[in-house]
Amino acid sequence: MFDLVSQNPMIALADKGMSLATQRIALIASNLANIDTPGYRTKDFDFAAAFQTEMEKLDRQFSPTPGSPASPAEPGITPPAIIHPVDITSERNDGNDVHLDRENMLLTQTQSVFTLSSNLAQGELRLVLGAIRDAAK
Amino acid sequence: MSTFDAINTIAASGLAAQRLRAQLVASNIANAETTRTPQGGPFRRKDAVFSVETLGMGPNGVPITGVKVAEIRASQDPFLTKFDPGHPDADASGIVQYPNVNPVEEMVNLTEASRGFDANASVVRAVRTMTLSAQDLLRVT
Repeated sequence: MFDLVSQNPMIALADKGMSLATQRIALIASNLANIDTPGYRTKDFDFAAAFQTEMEKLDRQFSPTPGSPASPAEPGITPPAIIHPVDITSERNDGNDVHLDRENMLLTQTQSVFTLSSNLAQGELRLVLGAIRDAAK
Repeated sequence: MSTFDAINTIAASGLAAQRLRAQLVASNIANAETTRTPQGGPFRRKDAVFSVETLGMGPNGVPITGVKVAEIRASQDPFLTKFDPGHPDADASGIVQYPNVNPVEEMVNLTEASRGFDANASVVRAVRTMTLSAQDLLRVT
């Protein structure tokens, strides 16, 4: 059955963007909660690399190479590898390396990624709705 | 547990931990001159020790780590002494032992706790904005 929403590459891509942004916010929230925990190390993942992985998966699903069948939709997203992005030299003397300004900046940035993705999906949904309305006339 | 719920739980653990810390600072400052406690002797400065708390796994294998107060530690620093023979708690040589509370140190702790609290509050705000923009997806017309 052809599904206008989940078979739409734009909406699928926006969905991945929103999921990855949410996961990153979860890590930022952990970092901020543990800002005064001795020995805690900042956690993050490479957003660009994780998004690239998801885009390649969607490419295989929506535009298969000639000769090979389209791969089925893979549910969920590949869990990105957790990294410790802060240089060990900026660590405080209690062994904690959470940087308040860095986390605040990333929080705002990731929030905009989420809003941008959801706006993209909304625009695409409007387009689909417009097409249905035109056809119904 | 949805990821949004998980993020709010993490931020809530941070808010609770920093609030408790501010509460300890308040009680330290309030008792800066207290020379009598139920345990006997002057008041001892108290401080919170934080530790990582794993709240489980997120939907995609991302661990959900919040924070918890591992212990409330009473400072073992020496008490401040002051010569005040008229004080009821003065010893034979007229010395009174006052709590080991340093007001300057407490103010630094308070600022740090309030900054940490604000950071966690901004996470809650960010989640709210994101939830609203996700809700907007239903408003297509």
